Parts: sequence; C-alpha cells; structure tokens
Amino acid sequence: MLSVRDLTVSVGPATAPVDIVAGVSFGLAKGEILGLVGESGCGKSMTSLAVMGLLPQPGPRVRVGEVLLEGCDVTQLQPWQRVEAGHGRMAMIFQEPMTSLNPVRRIGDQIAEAVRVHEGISGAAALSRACELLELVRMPDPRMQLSAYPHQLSGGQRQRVMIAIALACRPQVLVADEPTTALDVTIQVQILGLLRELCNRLDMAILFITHDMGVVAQLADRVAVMYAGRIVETAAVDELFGKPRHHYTRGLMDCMPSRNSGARRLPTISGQPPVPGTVAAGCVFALRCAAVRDVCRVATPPRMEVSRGHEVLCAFPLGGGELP
Amino acid sequence: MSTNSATLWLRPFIARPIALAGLGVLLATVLAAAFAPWLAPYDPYAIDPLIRLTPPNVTHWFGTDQFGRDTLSRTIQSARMALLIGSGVVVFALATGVPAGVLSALFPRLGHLLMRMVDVLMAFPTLLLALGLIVILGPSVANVILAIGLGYMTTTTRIVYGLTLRLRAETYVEASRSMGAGTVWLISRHILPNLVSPLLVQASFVFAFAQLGAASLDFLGLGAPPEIPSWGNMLAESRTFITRAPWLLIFPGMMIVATAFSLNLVGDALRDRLDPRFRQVFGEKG
Amino acid sequence: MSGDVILDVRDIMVSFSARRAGRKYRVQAVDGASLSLAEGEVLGIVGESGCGKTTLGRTIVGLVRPDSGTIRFNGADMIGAGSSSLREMRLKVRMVFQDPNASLNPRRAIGDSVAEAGDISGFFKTRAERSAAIAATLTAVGLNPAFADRYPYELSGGQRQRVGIARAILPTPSIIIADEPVSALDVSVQAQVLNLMMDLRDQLRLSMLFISHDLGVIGQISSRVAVMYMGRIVEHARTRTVLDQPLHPYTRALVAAIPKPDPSKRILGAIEMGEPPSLFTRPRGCAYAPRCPLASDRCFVEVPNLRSAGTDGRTIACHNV
Ligand SMILES: Nc1ncnc2c1ncn2[C@@H]1O[C@H](COP(=O)(O)OP(=O)(O)OP(=O)(O)O)[C@@H](O)[C@H]1O
Ligand SMILES: Nc1ncnc2c1ncn2[C@@H]1O[C@H](COP(=O)(O)OP(=O)(O)OP(=O)(O)O)[C@@H](O)[C@H]1O
Ligand code: SF4
Ligand SMILES: [Mg+2]
Ligand SMILES: [Mg+2]
Repeated sequence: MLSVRDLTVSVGPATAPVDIVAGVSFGLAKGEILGLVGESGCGKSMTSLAVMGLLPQPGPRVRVGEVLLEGCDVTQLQPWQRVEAGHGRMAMIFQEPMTSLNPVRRIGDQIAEAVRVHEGISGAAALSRACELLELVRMPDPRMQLSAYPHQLSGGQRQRVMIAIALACRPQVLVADEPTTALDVTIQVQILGLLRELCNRLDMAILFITHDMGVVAQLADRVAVMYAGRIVETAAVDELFGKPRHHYTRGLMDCMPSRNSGARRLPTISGQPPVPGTVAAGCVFALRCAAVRDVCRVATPPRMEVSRGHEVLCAFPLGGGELP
Repeated sequence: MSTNSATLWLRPFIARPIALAGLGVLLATVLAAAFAPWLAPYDPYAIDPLIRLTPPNVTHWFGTDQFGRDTLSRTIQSARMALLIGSGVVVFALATGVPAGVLSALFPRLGHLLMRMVDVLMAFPTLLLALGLIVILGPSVANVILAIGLGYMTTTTRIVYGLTLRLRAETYVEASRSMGAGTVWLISRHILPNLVSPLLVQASFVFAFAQLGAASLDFLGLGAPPEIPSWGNMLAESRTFITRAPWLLIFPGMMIVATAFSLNLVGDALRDRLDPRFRQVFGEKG
Repeated sequence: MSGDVILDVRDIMVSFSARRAGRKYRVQAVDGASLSLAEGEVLGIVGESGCGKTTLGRTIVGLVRPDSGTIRFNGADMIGAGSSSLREMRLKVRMVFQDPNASLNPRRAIGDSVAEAGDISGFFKTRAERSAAIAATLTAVGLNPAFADRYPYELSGGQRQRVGIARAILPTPSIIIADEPVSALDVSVQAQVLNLMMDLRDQLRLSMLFISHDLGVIGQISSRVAVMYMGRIVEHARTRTVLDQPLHPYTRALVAAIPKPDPSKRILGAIEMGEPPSLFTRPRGCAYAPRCPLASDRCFVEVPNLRSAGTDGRTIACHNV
C-alpha cells in the first residue's frame, strides 16, 4: 500500500548536500507493522517525516526518491492537496505526547477538532465520534475523560489520546515515531498491545520507529534495521531475530543485556555511529565492523536478497551468501 | 596561544563585518576621548559670535553653534563624558547587581528580602528614578552615574537572579555539591563563568542605555554641568534651533545612536567568542 | 554478597511540597526505604518513573535532606556528621548522573571537571600530580588523556558519560551511586559503558548502587536488586532470583513487561495492568493494591512491611505472597 523508493533526504547547500537519509526503500502492506529500528541519529525520524511530508522547513528536503501511497507520489503534493486527493489518510504519533497536545484545551475538544477537519461534521457529532475514538484506544471512562485536560492524564493516557487524534482521519497508514520511549515498561506493553490490536481491527499499516530491539521483536511483522541513513537489513521478524545476516544487526542483538544475562562482559560494537557527512566511500559500517575486509572500505556493498524477503546491505553477510 | 590570541579575539569580528564596524565605531570613540585635545581642530570652548550658527563647511566640518563654537570639536570632547558615564554606570550596575542577584538565588531568605526591594525600585521607570535621585542629590557627574546606575542595578539583579536560579538546578552544579563543594566554589567555578556571556550582553545594553539616560538628564538640565560638553548637553542647548540649525542635533544625536548600537553588536560578538562551542568555528582548540 | 556492610540506609522519608491546581500538596517521594550495601557489591534499584529512585540516590549523596531516617557509611552517621568528616565521606560516596549532556559544565575543560572533587578537597599536592591523575583517570575510563583540554561539546554522549564516570572515581571512592548511567545512551554504546563500570567495580573494588528502570541492565551488572514502588522497597533479593521467580505482584508485572528481544515470546495484550499511581493520592494500605491482581481487603487498609521470604536474605512487602 505504501511504497518508499530510494528516499534520500539531504541538508546543506544544493551544491554540497549532506545525505542524512540515503536511498531508503521499503514497502508496507495493509495490516502490517514494519519496525524501523536503529540508534540515535541514524535518520529514523527524518525518514518518517519525509514519508509524512512533514520535514521541517527550511532544512532537510527530499532530494531523490518517491513515497507512493496507493500509487500516488505524496512527496510531490502539498499537504492540502494530499487531503483533497484522498491521500491524507496517513497519520503520525510522536514520542512526547505532552508537547503535541494543547495544555489548555480539553482533550475531547482536541480530538473533536481533528474529527471535524477530516470529516466535516458538526460539533456534537464530532464530540460523540471523539468519545468512540477514546473507547477505541481503550481509555478507561472515555465519556468522563473527554473533559480532562492533558496534565490530568498519565503519560500512557496522553499517548492514547494522541493515538485517538491520529485515528480521527481513519488513516490507512499510521507512522509512530518512538511512541513508547518515554513510558514505563508496564505502560509500554499496553500501548504496544493497543497498536497491534488496532492494526488488526482497522486493517491499518503501521510504520513503527524505535531504537529498542526488544520492542521490535514484540510488535513488528517485518523489521528494517537502519544505520547511518541506510537500511542495512530487512527481514521478517522471526527470520531477523533467528538468523541476522548483517554484522550490525548481529552486534545490536548481542550487546543487549537481556540477551546474554550471566555473561561476565557484554559483547560490544567498537566505536560510535558516524556523523552525517563524514561517511567515506565503501560500507558505512566498515569502521566498526569486526568482519571488515579491504573491499568494504572502498566499494559500496551490494544489496543482496539472501533469502525470500530478506535483504542485506553487505558484501560478506553472516552465514554466507553468494557474491553477485 | 599567546602569540596569536589577538587574532583569535578578532576572529568573531572578522566573521561578521557588521560587528567589526561596531568595533571600529567604539575604537574611534575611545580614541576621540583619549586624544580629544589633539584631535579637535578648535578649542571646544572658544566663542566666536561672528560665525554663530554656520552650517557645515570646509573650515567647520560640523558647523558651529549659537555661540560660534565648533561643533566637531565639541562632539569629540563629549566622547569623554559619554565614556565616563557609560563605564561608570556599567561598573556600578554590575558591581552591585551581580552579587545581589547571585546571593539572592543561593540564599532564599536573603533573596526574598532583596528581590522585594528590587521590585519596589523597578516599579519606577528608570529615568523617573534617576530624576528623583538627582533632585535629591543635586546634579553632578558622580550623581548621574549613581542615579542611572541604580536603575540598571535592579534589572541586572533580576537577570542574574533568574540565571543563577537556573544554574543552581543544573546537574553539574548538583554534581559539584555532591562532592562537597561550598558556596564560594559553586559561585566561582560554575555560576560566574556561565554568567559571563549574558552579562556581557547586559553590560553593553546598560552602557548603551546609560548614554541615552545621561543624554536625557543633560537635556533636562539635570545631568553633567552645562559648561562641560556632552552629547546630551549639546542636544539640550540647540533644541531651540532645530529648524534653523539641524546639524547641531544631527551630529551628537548620531553619536549617541552609533555608540549605543555598536556596543550591542560588539557585545554579541564577544559573547560568541566566550562560548566554547564557537571556538571550534573560529579555529581554536582548547 | 562479599564483605561487610559499607552503606546502611534505614527508613528514609523524603517529601517535597508541590503545588497543583492552586493547592499545596506534600509529595512523599521516598516513603521509608531501607537498604544496605556490602563492600564490593552492586545493588540494583529498579522501579517505574517517579517512584523515588533518583531522590533516594540524591539523599544518599547529601543533595536532599531526608525528613527522617539514617544513613550510615562504614558505621558513621552521614546525616548528622560534622562538616570535616562529612567532607571526607563526600569523597567516598560519589554519584554518576543520568544525562551526560547536563552533568558537565559546558564552560569547563574536561580535565577540570574530572579533577573537581580533588580540587574541592585539596587532594592534589602539585599541579603535576593533578595532571597525572587526570590523565590516568581518563585512560582508566577508556578516553584519550588529550581530552583533558577539550570541552564537553566536542564529545559524543558515550564519551561524556565516560567523563562523568571519571569524575566519580578521582580520587577513588568506596561507593558509586549511579543514577541511570546508561539510559541516555545508544544500545551499542550502552554496552561499552556497562562493561567499563563492571571493570571499574572489579579493579577498584567499588560498591555500587545502580539505579535503572531497565531490568535487563540491572541483571547484567548487579548481584542483588531492590524493587521500588511509590517510594518503598517492595522486594529485595538476588537479581537472578528476582528475574527468574519474581514474587511480589509488582515485580512479576515488571518482569513480565520487559520487551524480550525474541519474537517467539510475545506478551502483548497478555498483561493487563492498571494505570500508574499518582503520588498525590496515595492509597491508605499497600500502594500497589489498586493495580494488584492479588489484592484482598486487608491490602487496602494495612501497609505491608518488608519481611523475610525464603533464603538468600530475600525480603518482600506483600500480604498475600
Ligand atoms: N535540520 C537539520 N539540519 C542538519 N542535520 C539535521 C537536521 N535535523 C536532523 N539532522 C541530522 O540528521 C540525522 C538524523 O536525524 P533523525 O532525527 O532522523 O535521527 P533519529 O534516528 O530519529 O534519532 P533519534 O533516535 O535520536 O530520534 C542526525 O544525525 C541529525 O543530526
Ligand atoms: N525537587 C523536587 N521538588 C518537588 N518534587 C520532587 C522533587 N524531586 C522529585 N520530586 C518528585 O518526587 C517523585 C520522585 O521523583 P524521582 O526523580 O526520585 O523519581 P525516579 O524514580 O528517579 O523517576 P525517573 O525514573 O523518572 O527518573 C516524583 O513524583 C517527583 O515529581
Ligand atoms: S500487599 Fe496486597 S495489594 Fe499489595 S502487592 Fe501484596 S497482594 Fe497486592
Ligand atoms: Mg528520532
Ligand atoms: Mg530518576
């Protein structure tokens, strides 16, 4: 349903652009949750904002690539055109719900406003739809909570409100940028469960962004691992966790404490992620890779399909793979 | 580092030509003040009734006033008073406002008391406060400095108080306290260094407004004694000739605006120089 | 457990006054927490956001004055200590802070930050000794000694956290209170810093109070763990025991909610857990009762006290387990 091809987001002057997202491609089917995972600064948020057409102006821009929602390139449309063309059916939720909510308005009004914008219905009808939406996101006592102010809600409840607002436009695609990072694990499970349920019930596609491998394993159907602006590995979730092929993916999993409790020392990936603009020729991970060979430093590795639906951006993937 | 530290200090100015221009104006003013007797083409006090109110011409570049005194010479001479009052007010405002603000923030009880007093003083407009004080104390240069300085002491105290309250809650201050640091240590190592750049801006702002304040007092006849040339006195004396001899207002007026504006530009550039993040931009390591 | 008790914290109460909707409340941030730390031991403290973990740590290093309770370091009272002995204890009990960006003064060179505790206490006799100590400490935390002249903005988050750790181990302390030292770091960097802390623990024989909301991290570094809920310790046992067989209902929920990096063990929707509590409306009995699946009538009226449960010095505060 959503197809992103060769998306490249750049900053800096047009003559010397710095790519903070470089040639990202992925597809997203109805009812599917794609987990986009990577460390801080690797370009996850920029990818999601570019997909939504919400890149901050001025600054980063889509230099190359297309974002096709049901065959129509949304990067070419202004936001209002997207709504008119029936392509407004994407919505986004963010990490910090408090900053996205108006602190001095009742949440019922804020949800109802989103409903009005998208459905053009009157106040009372919008408010009752708002109540339905709160029920949908399993807010306890939805009718009462309509008149609550954001500060009267807990962090988890606020995130539910944000999801309700996002659902107001009956989105086909929901983009969630680290929606549970600011929440406690006990609340996180609930929100993740809610997203899974909504995805199944409304047949929505969800692009779920996180830096937590554990969360991805719990929620996603497919996973794309991002590093330094590139997707280095894509696979179905079982396959990725069962048989990671990229050295970075493998490294990330190994250094999670919960995967090797008991070990004296944690395996680590040496060094730090590169700063955008300093990426030299060759593989972006070459500087930190334990299996690096000389070609990695000079030649950009190929994107290999090591098995059906499992792509890896590496010349020497783990577990072998025929060189092209 | 000492070999090229002068160029390092200049770099933020070179990177920003308008700040360099501001620095130029300030330097010119300081030089004018220092070498006024040699720079001035005529004696600024010499009266010549024959050439009263001559417009600017080849011999008198800035024209002459109603007593035939040379405006250029008087403008140059006035730089002394301007700098004296400006620096006097800045020193007074900072010397009183910084300790008051820092201590108020660190000792809540004292702060409660001091900040109420500041509130009372701040209820009066700065100029009105200065006027009142001059009326009580009598006009003199020292009293002008005191009267204007008091007005800016209150704003400085408030700013420093607010900044220190924020700094006090910074994690690195907590870290220092957790290692047993005392008040003196906190102030000298953490609070003052982080106050320098906002204070530079405040100082340039105070200096600039002190010019305006002094000019206003002069204008009302409550500032520097009328026989001493100052830009404000010059404006005051010539206001009745505004239509006949506009140059009498233009030149001192321009100087007031130019010094005030330049000071703000230079203050900004200095603040950037002191910010470690900018050192990289300007090519200094450590 | 190895060696003697080096830090003993008893019945600490800390409250703050807060203003909500025009009314003044008292927030009981720490509500009678007790714990003890043996020499060379790492004790993890885990709990939800706002349960008082940071406040407890800040109380131990003297940043917050408790309303009541005692803190003993090597048997000596830390709260009522005179200023000179207190100064000495401050050098022995140090803190590493969560946010590596906020915990370093942007206007001080790294070396000055690292040497701060020594400078405050007059630990260094000569300038040469001071710079040698800075260089050695930076090396010990895996940084280039040349960083001493750099400023925080030139360092990455992981490097800054290493500086934060370096500052806490010069001069060598006995105890480190680490408040979520790796929470702000990337996973790959987090592992590096955790390894560093484990190395230092072994080399310097440090005892640590390791505060975290991540049971995975706690499981890696600490031998025992105290689970905190609304300002109280509700379960206290060996880390492995807690992770494998959590007893207290809250600990069970916490352990169950860890997102396991294994897609075959999905738990979503399997856990139904009520809303987190508000510190303004503290329940009368067990603070967990409103969310607890085991709650009985007694739980709503009577506060459960920590009692011994099983071997290994496991303690637990629950009426029904
Ligand atoms: N306006 C901008 N100008 C230049 N660079 C930018 C701009 N905004 C972001 N970047 C850079 O783009 C890169 C990608 O940023 P992005 O916010 O997408 O990261 P992220 O993967 O979402 O990280 P996080 O997990 O911290 O949210 C970062 O290195 C960032 O420094
Ligand atoms: N200086 C203070 N003034 C008022 N209330 C405070 C203060 N410090 C902490 N609190 C309150 O005390 C409670 C406990 O806070 P604390 O920071 O100890 O929690 P925490 O367990 O460290 O949480 P987190 O995991 O979010 O860091 C919170 O409700 C907090 O709002
Ligand atoms: S005391 Fe009661 S309410 Fe509290 S945890 Fe135990 S069973 Fe649950
Ligand atoms: Mg992001
Ligand atoms: Mg905390």
